[in-house]
Order: sequence, then structure tokens, then C-alpha cells
Amino acid sequence: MEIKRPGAHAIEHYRSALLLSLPALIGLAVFWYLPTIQALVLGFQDYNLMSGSQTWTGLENYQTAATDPLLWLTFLNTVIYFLMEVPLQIGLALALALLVQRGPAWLRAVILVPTVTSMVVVSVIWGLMYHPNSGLINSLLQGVGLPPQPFLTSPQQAMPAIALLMIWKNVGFSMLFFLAGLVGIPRDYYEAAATDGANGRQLFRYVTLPLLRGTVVFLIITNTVTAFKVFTPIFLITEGGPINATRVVVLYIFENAFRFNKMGYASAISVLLALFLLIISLYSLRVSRAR
Amino acid sequence: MYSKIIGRRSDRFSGPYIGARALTRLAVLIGVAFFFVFPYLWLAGSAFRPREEIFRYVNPVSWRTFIPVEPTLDNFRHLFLELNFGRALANSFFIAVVTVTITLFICSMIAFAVARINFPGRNIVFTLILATILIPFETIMVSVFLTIQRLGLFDTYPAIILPWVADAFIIFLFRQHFREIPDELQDAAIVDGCSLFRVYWNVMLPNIRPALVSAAFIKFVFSWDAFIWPLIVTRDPDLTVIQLAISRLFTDQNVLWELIFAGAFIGTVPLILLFLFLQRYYIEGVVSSGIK
Repeated sequence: MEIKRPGAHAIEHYRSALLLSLPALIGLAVFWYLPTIQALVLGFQDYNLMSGSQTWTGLENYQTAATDPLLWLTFLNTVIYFLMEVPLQIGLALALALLVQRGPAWLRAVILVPTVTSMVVVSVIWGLMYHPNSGLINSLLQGVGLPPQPFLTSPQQAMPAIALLMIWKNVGFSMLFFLAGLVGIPRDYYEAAATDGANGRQLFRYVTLPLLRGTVVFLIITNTVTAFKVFTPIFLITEGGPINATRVVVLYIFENAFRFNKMGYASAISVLLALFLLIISLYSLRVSRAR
Repeated sequence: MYSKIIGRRSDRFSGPYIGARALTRLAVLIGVAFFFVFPYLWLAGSAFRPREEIFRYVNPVSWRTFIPVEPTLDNFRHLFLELNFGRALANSFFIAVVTVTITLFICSMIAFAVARINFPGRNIVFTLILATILIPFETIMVSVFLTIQRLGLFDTYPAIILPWVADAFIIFLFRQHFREIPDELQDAAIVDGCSLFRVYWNVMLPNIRPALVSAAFIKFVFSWDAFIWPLIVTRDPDLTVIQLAISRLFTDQNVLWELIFAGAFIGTVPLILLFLFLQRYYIEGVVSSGIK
């Protein structure tokens, strides 16, 4: 039962609720709702921060976007990054969850430490580790008899290298959700299946995996959104290079807004990205509910 | 939740091959641990190396790769005395503490209203909160930046702090916990003549203490982590946060590796220590709010 009483009490409740909600609502209004509306408006404008000139240009920004080869390339690069990072990360997270569930407690802590290490530190340290001549990874490779790799200096290897770094940082988060999902599976299910003669692999395939479906859908949605927002490691380590191989959407938004001073165009790209992510999230939710 | 996550072990892997299996398992465990730990070993070791030593033992890999032969504190001295790392650290701590404090207050207040008070429009308020989750910050950062400028807040502490204090994930986390509190507690307090504010402060808040700790730590990590936003809204060197200071060592024209390692060490150790103490709250908070 909640507090619901008629008359004077109801008014008092209304007033209290309003007062309690107000500070957070003001915060959300000023820093989320209004900027969202403003981004939509700015997309139809040409806004120069330096001169302060603000003119309506209709659909011009969106027309530019449709024919901007660099924007399409950044989008393609982001999709490539997403395809490398998300499936691998989720698969690895599941494997680690199964390992940690039966493993020592310190292992879980070790896997989680990168999630509390700042994105800047992770980028910087991996940036140094990937160094072709003085980096740790190449000396480890040579230590086991493999040839050294160019990593970030190669257009082919730069994006996979960034994806690996991000998997290393984020996999702990996903692992936690799998651990929580595994806990939710009643033990009886395993016992029943085992009584029917299921072996370890079958238990995993027919009991564990189907019951983790909800977790997988949740992780796909959240990790997809995160993947399309990738910025810091690329901004710090490769700056979009070599030869645009790692130029991603958010970096392009950042550059247009704060380097080329095209606030309007940057907002138009932001709106396109937001819409794209919204559609993906809603679509995956619908697909997962339909089944 | 937490105790359940760690509490269960399966005995499925028992059988005649226990010896070989145990060895394989141990090798896998060590391999996985190494994958997650080796960057930290390299980072920690190199932070205490003198400049001449920094590239000397990287290849071939040996124990010297991870442990400095002639350890020194020179790098830290340089960072604090010449590059103002003390100020950057203090800024980051100050910003994180203020962000956490304001966040806990305003988010728990609105979460209490939405979870425990029946008022018209409650569902609209909650939907408005959740809707912000669908808008990634990166897609509105240009407009938020312009908002900060218009408010005259560019290059100030509030510019770094204010956009982050109303946090839908944390409101959601608190709401979940408020809903679990038995109605009798609230009803008894009301009958005793408590106002709703007293109920919130004296009855409800003490009952969600674990969620408050979780939220505080998660928000602290996020605030400490922030990079793109301080990069956009600050220019004054006195407002430099630790992440900006570290990134500048790295993007500097004449990159000095030993300073980067020392800077990264300073920026990482406080959070790892906090994490080791607050691990269970962190796990609980991440899982039950879906924060990422």
C-alpha cells in the first residue's frame, strides 16, 4: 500500500513530490531535454561559434551529410569497430563468467579492475604497449617466436587494436551481467537435465544458453550503443589515422564542432547518430519480445 | 545478489581426469589473469624507472621488464613540482566529491517521490527520467556545450559538474531499492506524524544505505574518468583534471614515457584501492542499475 488519501493529504503529497522532484527535473531539463531540442534545431542552422552568426539553412546540413564521403567513411569505420568489438566482447564475457563462477574470487576482481581504470589511462598504456619498436606487446610476441606487428601504424591493424583494448576494458561489465544471469538459473533445471542423461556440453547448450537470452539481448543493446560512441582511445592514440582508418562518428562530430567550428553540421550528424541508435535499440527490443 | 553471485560452485568437473583437468584449468586461470594484469605490471614498474632505463628491458621480456632495476621517485617529483599534478589531483577529487554529493541528494529525492508517493503525473515523471537513457550524451554534447556557454559557465567548476548530477541510472537504482522497503515502515512513520520529508530523510534513506554506497562509488568512478567533457568546457590550466593532465603527457610533442607511466600510476591507484574496499557495492550497483 502506498500513501493515498483524499483531500488535504493529497495536495500535501503532490506538493512534497513536486519539491522533491524539482532539483533533478531541473537538471534533466537543462542538460538533457533542452539540449536535445536544441540539437534538432541546430541541425537546420549554420552556427558559427566565433562570429556568433546563426542562420537558418533548412535541410542543407542533412544534404551535406548525405553526400559527405568522409561522414560515410566514419560511419562505416564505426560499424566495422562495432562488428569487431561487440560479438567478441560478449562471447568472451560469457566464457569468463563461466570460469569465474567456479574460479577463485580474486580472478573476478582482476577482470573488473580495468572497468574502474580510466579510459584515458587505458588508452595511454595500450598506446605505449602497441608501439612497434618499444612496445611490450611486440616484445612478448617476439618472446614466443612470432614476428613483430605494426599495430596502430597499419591501416589494417589499427581498428582491431583499438577494439582489443576496448574489449579488455569493458568485458568485466558484461561478465557481471552474465554472472547475475547464471545465478538466476534454478539448480533443479541442471539436475533434471542431468538425470535425463545430458552431458556438460548439452547442459550448456540447452539449459544455460536459452535461459541467458534476456541477458544477451540486454548486453547487445547496451554494448552496441557504447560501441557507436567510441571516442577517447581513438582521439588519444590514432586521431583517426592512419589514413582515416580509425576515424569514427563521434570523433567526426567532435572535429566538426570544436575544430572546424561547424556547430550546425555537427548537430545534424549527432541527430542522425541518435536516431540510428534509437531505431537499433527499439528494433532489438521488439525482436527479442516477439520470440 | 552479491552473495548469490559468488556463493555457488559447481562440482560438475569431477571425474577420472581430475588431474589433467585441474592442470588445464590452472593454466587457463593464470593465462586469463595475466591478460588482465600485465599492463598494470608494466605500468607500475615503469613509473619508478629512471629515464635511461625506460626502453632498456622491454625486449627481450624478463623480470626486469616489469621490475625497475634502479627504482626512483624522480618521475613523480617532476610531475608534482614542474607539471602541477597536485593541482590536477585536487581538482579531480574536489569535482568527484561534489558531483557525488549533489547526485546522491537530488537523485534519491526524486526516486523517493516516484517510488513512494502517489501523486498525479508520477508515471509521466518516471518516463521523462527514463527517456534520457535513450539519448547518448555524445549526441547532445555540442548543445550542452552551447548551453554552458550561454549560462556563462564556460571554464568553471560548475560547468564540469552540473551536467552530470541528474543521473537517470542512479535514480532508477534508488527507485528499485525504495520500492523494496515494506509499506508498514512508512505508514507507521506517517501515523506518528512525520512529514514526507521526514519519512524520506529519517526512514527511507537509512534503509537504502548499500545503494547509496554503490551509487556514490560508481558516480565517483565516472567523474574521475571524465575526459571528453572537461576537455570541451575548460581551458584554464587551474581547472585541469587528472585525466586531461595525463592525456597531455601523452599527446605532447616530445613524449616522455617515464612521465606518462608515473602520471597513469597516480591516476589509477586511488581508484583501484577504493575498488578493492568497495567491490561488493560496485558489483551490486552495476548489476541492479544496468549502468555502463
